[in-house]
This record gives sequence, structure tokens and C-alpha cells, in this order.
Amino acid sequence: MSKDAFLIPKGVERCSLGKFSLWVLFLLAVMGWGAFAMFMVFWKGLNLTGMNNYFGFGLWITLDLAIIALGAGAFFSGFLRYIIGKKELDAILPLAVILGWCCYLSAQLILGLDVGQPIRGWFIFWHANIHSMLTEVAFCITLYFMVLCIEYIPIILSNRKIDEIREAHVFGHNLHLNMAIFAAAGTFLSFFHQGSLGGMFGVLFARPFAERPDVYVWPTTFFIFILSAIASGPALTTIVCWIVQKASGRRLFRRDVLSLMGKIAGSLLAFYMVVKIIDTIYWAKVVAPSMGMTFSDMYGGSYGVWLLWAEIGICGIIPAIILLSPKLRDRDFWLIGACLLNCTGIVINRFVFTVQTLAIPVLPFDEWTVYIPTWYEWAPMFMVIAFTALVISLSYRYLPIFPQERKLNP
Amino acid sequence: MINVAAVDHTIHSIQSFLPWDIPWNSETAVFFGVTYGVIVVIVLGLAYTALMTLKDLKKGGHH
Repeated sequence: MSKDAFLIPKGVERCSLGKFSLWVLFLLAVMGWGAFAMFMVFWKGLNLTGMNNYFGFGLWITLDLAIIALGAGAFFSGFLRYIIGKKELDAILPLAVILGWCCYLSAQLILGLDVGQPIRGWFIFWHANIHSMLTEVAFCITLYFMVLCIEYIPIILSNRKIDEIREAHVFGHNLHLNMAIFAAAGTFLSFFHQGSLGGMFGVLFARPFAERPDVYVWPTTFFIFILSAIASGPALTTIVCWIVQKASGRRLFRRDVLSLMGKIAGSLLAFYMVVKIIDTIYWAKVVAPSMGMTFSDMYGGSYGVWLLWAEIGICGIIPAIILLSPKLRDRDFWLIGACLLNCTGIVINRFVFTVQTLAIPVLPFDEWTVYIPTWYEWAPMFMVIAFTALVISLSYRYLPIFPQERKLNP
Repeated sequence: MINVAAVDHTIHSIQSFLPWDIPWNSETAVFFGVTYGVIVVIVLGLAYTALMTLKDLKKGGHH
């Protein structure tokens, strides 16, 4: 029997403490490497990175935008469960919340690194510029992170030992009963910050690659970022559920839950693709020419038109078709493959909006330049991935995050 | 030569987000109305949960 058996949920099996400790040590080593890179950047400055006068944004902002989109599985699963009433999602909802919590904490950590002066991070709240979409993003992300913490609390309180404390048990139970209130607040906040993240790019009238026409007061990127987030968030949740199940070697949920998640991701991805293609055609035919540029001016150097085909074709239309097919999404290979493509497409989208937008020459003396991140930028990225793996590993070991596990493994 | 008089000198950043420091107008009212509204919903949700918990504990706890 494992030495920490008294903390492990009743009726389930976990690997030995020694094996688990080795895994945790590995994750801590990766996190240490990232923390060292962070320390060096704070000490020596942003000149250690690949960013320069051309690229004020780089890997970190791409990562921020990508993980916030991919973390949308938490709010959207909560919305489907508590507002729409999809009770089947109970089987994976705790994991979706934990994944979202990790994504948002990681995004805030990387942002703290990226701004270079995290000690002044509170300025954006205290001296808010209400005309800035970034201010709206900062407020919404911070408040939504609080909501995620509230959603995580009953999961933590369900730990075998903590649950023995009467007050904790009752509070956790009541928090769970009132979760619809927080899920609704989280949905509202998420819609706005996902949208405003896109809106930030759409209003860049000096950057023709990103600039988009307005729909009421928001550029089209506002809506497109929301759609892409709700299409990719459930896909990442599906992938992580599948990985945890494979790594544990146990059945953690019924297979139809994964298929349902695939169907949700596929339907939303298909809708997003239709809107994205219309938006891209309008941008290429109307918006870019109105600024004296052509579609081909937008692609060059290392940032060729292949990025567009990869984003919309390979990582957009193809996974949408796979996920919309009941036969294909019922098979792990196709489901997980399509979800991976879906997530990759969203990462490419966030990459081109961040990096390619800046790479395109817009002044007579500008030329195509390439941004290459240094290891000081890669290491914090691996740090947050390792951190997410650590939180999920600890949660899986000590918390009953898969309600169907005991029943499926008698 | 920049015409200094033509430059928009409107202050877009606020002194603090405390209600008495906010220059209340239509734009700030929307932004901070919604922000405070969400904060109130979250706080009331937590307060209601805490009250339910106290009530349940007085009754002997949930089983």
C-alpha cells in the first residue's frame, strides 16, 4: 500500500508513491529550468529574448493568446453543463476546470514576464484606460481567474481527508449547488475577454494584416476569437482527458463523453471555419486593397501563404469534417488526431496575428524580418506546460476528479 | 509643426477604480457598471454559499 494512501480517493488505484515522486521530480526539474530563464530575463532584461524593434511581441504573447483560447474548455464546459444542462459533461467537468485554471494562471505568469515590469502590473487596474481593449482583457481575465479558483475549491475540498472536516464538506457541497451562478459569471467574462483579445488586433489600423472592419463597436476579430476559443477549448480538454486515461491505464469516463466533446468541438469548429473563411475573403478582397496592399503583400519571407492553408485547410476544415463524422469521432485515433489539428490551427492563428502582423513591412524602409525565439523564451513555455502537468497529476492522484472512475473500474 | 492646441488632451486613464475617483460619464458608466456588477454577483454568490453553509451546520450538517 502506498504511503499516501490515506489521501487517495476511496475505491481507486494509483501508482506507487516512488513512481509518482519520480514523475513529480522530472516536472519540477523542467519548471526549475523555466524559472531560471525567468530569473535571467528579470535580471538581464528582454534583450535576452529574440524580440527586437520589429517584434515587440513574440513567443510569450503567442503562448498567452493560445493558452487562453485553449483554456476556454473550462468556461464552455461549465456553460454547457450549468446553463444548457448537459449532465453528461459531469464526467470530465472537474478536469476541464483544473485545465482552465492552469491555463489562466500560466497566461498571467507569462504576461508578468513579458511586460518586463510585473511590479507595476497593478497600474492597468488602478489607472485603467477604459478606451483600451487590453484593459477590458485584464479586468475580465483577473475576474475570471477568481471564478476558476471558486470552481476549483469544491474539487479540492472533496479530497478524502479534507472532506472529513464537516465545515469543509458542507461548504464544498453548497458551493457545488450554487455553481451555476459562478458558471454564468465565468461565461460572461470569458466571452468578453476572448473577444477583446481578438479586438485588440482588429483595431490595429497601422497593421493591415490584422485590421478588420467593425461590426457595431467591435472589429470582426472580436467575434472570430470567441468562436475559435470555444471551438478549440473543448478539443484540448478532450486531448488531456484522453492522455490522463492512457497514462493511468484505467477507464476514467464512458467513451461517449469523449465523442460528445468531439461533436461539440467539431460543430463549433465548422461554424468558426465558415465565419473565418468569409472574413478572410473580405479582408483579402476589400480591406487590404483599401489600405493600398494586396493579399500577396501579406505573405513573404518565412511567413508564406502556407501558414494560411495550414491554419484554415489542414488544421481547420479537415478536423471539422472528421469531428462531424460520428463514425470517425468514435475512434480514438481520428478523434484525438482531429482535436490535435484543431488546437494546432488555433495556435497558428494566434501566432500569425501576433508575429506575422509585425513581420510585414508597412513603411518604405521596412523589410521582411524573421523572429526566432531564444531558449530564454522557450524555457518558461515548457515551465508552464510542466506546471499544468504537475497540477493535473496531483489533482488526479488526490482528488476524485473523474466521478465515473470507481464505477468503471470495479 | 504639431498644433499643440489640436492634440486631444482628454485623460483616458483614471486616478483609481474606486467609485469616487471615477469621472462618471457614459463610457465609464458602462465599463465600471459591468465590472462592479460582475464583482457583486461573485461576492453575493460566495456570501449566499457561506450563509447556506452556516444554516446547514446549525441544522446538523449535510449528509
